[in-house]
Amino acid sequence: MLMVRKPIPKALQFSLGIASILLLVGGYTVFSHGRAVRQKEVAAQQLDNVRNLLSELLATPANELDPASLAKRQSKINDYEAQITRFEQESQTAFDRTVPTWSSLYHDGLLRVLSPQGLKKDQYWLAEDAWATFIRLISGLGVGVALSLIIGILMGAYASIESFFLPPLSFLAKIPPTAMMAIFFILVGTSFQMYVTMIAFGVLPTLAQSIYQSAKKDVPENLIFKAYTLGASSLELIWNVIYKQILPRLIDAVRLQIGPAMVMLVAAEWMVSSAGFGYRLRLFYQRTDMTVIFVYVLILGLAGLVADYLLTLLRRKLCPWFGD
Amino acid sequence: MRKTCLLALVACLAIAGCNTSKETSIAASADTPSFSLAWSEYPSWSVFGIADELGLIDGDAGAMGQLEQKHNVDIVLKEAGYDSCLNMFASKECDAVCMTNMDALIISPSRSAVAVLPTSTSNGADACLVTKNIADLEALKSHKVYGLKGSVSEYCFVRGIEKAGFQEADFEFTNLGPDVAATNMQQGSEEHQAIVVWNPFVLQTLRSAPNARVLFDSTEIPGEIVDMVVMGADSLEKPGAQEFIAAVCDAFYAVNQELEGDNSDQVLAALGTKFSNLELADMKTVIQQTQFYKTAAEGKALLNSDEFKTTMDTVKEFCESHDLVKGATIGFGSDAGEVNLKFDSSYLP
Repeated sequence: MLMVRKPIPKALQFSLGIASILLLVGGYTVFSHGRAVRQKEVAAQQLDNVRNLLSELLATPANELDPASLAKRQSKINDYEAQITRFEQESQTAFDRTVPTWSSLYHDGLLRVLSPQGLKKDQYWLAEDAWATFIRLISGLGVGVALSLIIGILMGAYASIESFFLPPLSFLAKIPPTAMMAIFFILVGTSFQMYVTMIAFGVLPTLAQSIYQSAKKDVPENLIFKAYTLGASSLELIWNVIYKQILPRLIDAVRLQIGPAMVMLVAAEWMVSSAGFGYRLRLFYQRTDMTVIFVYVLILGLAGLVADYLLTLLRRKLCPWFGD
Repeated sequence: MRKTCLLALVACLAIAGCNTSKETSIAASADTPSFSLAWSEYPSWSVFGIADELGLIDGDAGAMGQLEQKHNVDIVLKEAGYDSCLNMFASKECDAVCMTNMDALIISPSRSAVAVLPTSTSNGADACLVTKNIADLEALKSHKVYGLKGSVSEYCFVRGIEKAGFQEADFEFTNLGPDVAATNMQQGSEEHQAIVVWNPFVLQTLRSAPNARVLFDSTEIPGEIVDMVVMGADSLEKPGAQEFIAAVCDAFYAVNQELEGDNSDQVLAALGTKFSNLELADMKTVIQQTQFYKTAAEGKALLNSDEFKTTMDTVKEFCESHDLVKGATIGFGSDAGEVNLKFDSSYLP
């Protein structure tokens, strides 16, 4: 039996990680390929149907028909012929938009979001969407973090402020922010300010609570006594001891709040925005065209990893004493 | 080094993000009246997205395209899903909205509305699709019919079966969003043998589900499902409202002319990408099934016709019997007085 927490060699660790990624990629390849083949078969079947219909129609005698029926017959023939041309092409090139193959992900997804679109070829979807979402996220998180930092530290420092803020914060933290969306739409409208307010208030209860917990528990009592003995004022104590001590926890807490903030942001963009990741995802979902959707989902995942990594780096740089 | 890279990336994004204003636009002055129009992706409404791309109007706040300059009004375009557009209208987040005559009636008790510009009517764009297993309406009785309840889909369905001489009570209309219903039928779900959806889902389903066919569609009720631009009665009283409507109408008819002109294929394809992933050939079908009111004369003819008054009675009856609205009043013409929903052709050029 495998022993609990038995270490494994580095090489095995590495290759297991690679294997899981390969499995994902391989599974998708097989799945999407199968769907594409099926789609081609469907087109071929439709091609047969139309061909039969056409030959049936051509087999019926037409010499005794009046001009009106004759015209009708001719337009039907034209229609069938147009369909045959289309299905002939599709039985060769059709692909499934719900589970696109890698090549269609590249050509219809990635290239499309990177190259200029629109009547005047002046829209770059990825750049515009990424910028819209990024600036909303950063502004919202910025406001949220600043407010939570003030509230959290003051709560950790002063018992009166703690007693005042704790009940509403613990209550608000339990409300799923997406449930509050309707309230934000009505009260703040659907402008840029709405996204900032929504993200700020969405992350505030949880963030403020974890900062307050940290300010209370992670600052050893003897440090506070020492600072006071050495003649520090309360403000100096907060800045030089408490803030410095909780900084690594703060960065970690922010890192963990990016996920929930993105959930709210994409959901809100899905509903009321005309730019941003959520907006583009909605458009393409409505068209049951998954090419762009898969590309955006991949980009969002990668961006999340990068943000995570950068914040960890920042923490290591600012607070080397904290360790990993 | 790393920092420089990051800065460069942010700078690139910033340039790309800010570089969306158009060359022909000018900045609006502080005293220019500003009005907002909410639109969702639909053939005759995506027209406003095209007008924005063509520079006829600039949808950004504070920027004015050609027609906005002509009428001295700043139009702010808000693109959102259809449901969100309706919510925005009801909560006065926008001055005007694109919606159907039926939804305008349903929403009118919460915000009095004036229909100023009919854009199109469904002439096959709403359809009841069935698989091979269902031969006729009689056979449909033993199957659930999926579609969005309280929407034009249900209206189209009920009107269709009534016209064929059947009773609504004999059928089971089950609530399901058109996107989900269409996807299920396309995936060959056993459960979803009959659906009522609108375009692009009608065409998409007919193309990707080999078994699917149209049982009946809105060609049986032409002029009953009307897409239009509706303005809040309160917004109409703001200064500049007349100019706003004039600019919106101008933009709509200008794009309609483009659709007839030399570049028609290109404009139609652009409309297609604003609306769905349908290609040019399919878009030609789409705009047949969604018949545009291409000129002001056609729009006036509809709003002033007696048939349309009868239609609105039918719609009202349907909405009241399905608990969608209670006691909303409808009026026609600019002298209709205080009503919830007014159809007024006097704003058309």
